[in-house]
Amino acid sequence: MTRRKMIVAYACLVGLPLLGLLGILHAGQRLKAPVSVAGAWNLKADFNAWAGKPCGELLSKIKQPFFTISQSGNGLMVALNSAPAATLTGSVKGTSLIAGADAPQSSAGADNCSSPDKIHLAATVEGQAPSRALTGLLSLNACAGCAPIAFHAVRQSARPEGGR
Amino acid sequence: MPNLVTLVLQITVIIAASRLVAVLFQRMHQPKVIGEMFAGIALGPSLLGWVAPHLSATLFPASSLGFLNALSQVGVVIYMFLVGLALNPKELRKHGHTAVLTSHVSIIAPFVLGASLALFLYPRLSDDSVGFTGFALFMGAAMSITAFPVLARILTDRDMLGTKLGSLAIACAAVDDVTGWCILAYIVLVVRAYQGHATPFWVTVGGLGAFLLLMLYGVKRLLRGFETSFSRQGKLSENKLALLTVVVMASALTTERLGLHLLFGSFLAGVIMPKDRKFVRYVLDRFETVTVVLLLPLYFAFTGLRTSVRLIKGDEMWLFCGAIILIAIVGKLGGSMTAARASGGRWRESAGLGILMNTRGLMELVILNIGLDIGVISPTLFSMMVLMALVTTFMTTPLLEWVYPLRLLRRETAGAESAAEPEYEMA
Repeated sequence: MTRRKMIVAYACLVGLPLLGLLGILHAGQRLKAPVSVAGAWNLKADFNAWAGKPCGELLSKIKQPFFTISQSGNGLMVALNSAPAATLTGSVKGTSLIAGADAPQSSAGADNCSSPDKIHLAATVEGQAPSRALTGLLSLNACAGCAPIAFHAVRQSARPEGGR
Repeated sequence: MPNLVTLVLQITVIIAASRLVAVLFQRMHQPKVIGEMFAGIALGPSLLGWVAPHLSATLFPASSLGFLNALSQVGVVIYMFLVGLALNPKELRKHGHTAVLTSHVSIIAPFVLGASLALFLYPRLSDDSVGFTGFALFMGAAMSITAFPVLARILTDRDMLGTKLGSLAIACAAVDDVTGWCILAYIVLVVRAYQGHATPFWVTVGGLGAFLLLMLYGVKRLLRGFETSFSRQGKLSENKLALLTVVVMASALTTERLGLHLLFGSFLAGVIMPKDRKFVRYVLDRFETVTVVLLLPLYFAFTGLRTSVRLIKGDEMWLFCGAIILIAIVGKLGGSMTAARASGGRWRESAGLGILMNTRGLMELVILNIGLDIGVISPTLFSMMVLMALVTTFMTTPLLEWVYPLRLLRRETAGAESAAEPEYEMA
């Protein structure tokens, strides 16, 4: 291959794509990604509202950080810090976050507080990254006598553990 | 159960599973590393966690993964040193313009396609803790990597190292590796600066400059002393091997402290090592067995524990995954093939080169794990990219056999036996 041909080939096969890359990076600046909520969260709520009910005990079994969110775009996996481990699925749209059991149990109507995956979260995301907060309502599916309680959660760390 | 017992049990299960699957894959004429990668994925939530969740939770409790991770990271730190050690700039000089053009196109083509795909994936699979620039550059880098060690293994298995195609592929992969790691270093800086990382940007850049100078003009001289000692005595004393290990670890720690990643330092330590063939082989032999047999399977298993194919839910997600795999193949295989053809290669040779360069293997997993660690990719995207790494690595041998059958290869290499002696290869 002659030097001249090499320069032409290099310009076409490397130079032009590089210009294209600059164009892509420029075009992408206008894109918006969903609000980041991934990480471990500490939750504060008045659990006394459910005192005397089995559900009150259920919440006390969950330690802080209350939950850890793993995020992929709008999709969320909310792992409760409970034993046995329970995971909720959810989504974030704009600044609204909801999470609940993936497949609702058929025991609706009866008081059934044995499993933490009955928890349902609906919240608004507040603050700027990385120090984000959630304010919303925590309710229990399958617990007719449990009125939703207000909660406030603060992000402890922006990334779930398990990495380096 | 005490953590130590759990860790030993985990290591036992991982090594047994990894060897078993590796043997099965070798019977399918695949490099054993692909079997080890599959074994790692199988031990994670994608298979074991799905079919036997209680067993998985007992064997790999979340609280124990820190130990497994630490041990596996040490393995990859040493492995990256060995990858750097096995790289030889002489390979590039043999092929001149063709290698430069082909390797640069084989990086830029998948890079641009990966960045284009980022336009589509960023609003769907990322979040605002990562800027578009960092995300797009990472997608490009992850698409453009070639697994130098796996490639060397495939070429050795097929007795292709001495052929024109084999040595061109090795030269291009070497350039790809060095370029890819430089690009990745830049991306880590961009992403960490965006996330407001503790180490200021100017400290990282200034520190890196000083560190590079120290490595190239100070440490390199020390390493040459090792080579001289080896050529005199035919071996390195235990003290010298220990000192070499200290150099690798200190280099890794420096890049980590500067805000990059451990692996950049260990790779750099390998790259600046003297390249005398016997010396390289000797050092590889000393470090390779424990790293490849014991530590790397742990890394595959740890990667598998972070990979969940079940995160890829629904038709739309599988469509994204398919697009990632397709674009990775078109960019890398197509780009390398086009460049080789433009450089005057025959179609068959050019296609063979494209297929070889499309091998991603362990290097892809290393890059993806870095991406997940620094938060530039989400767990779902990580799982999709791991699948891409598996598919592109797995397809190499059968595709190569189809395009460049062994009988044809033997006919072409007949009479060129003397040229077929490999420089050095990694397991």
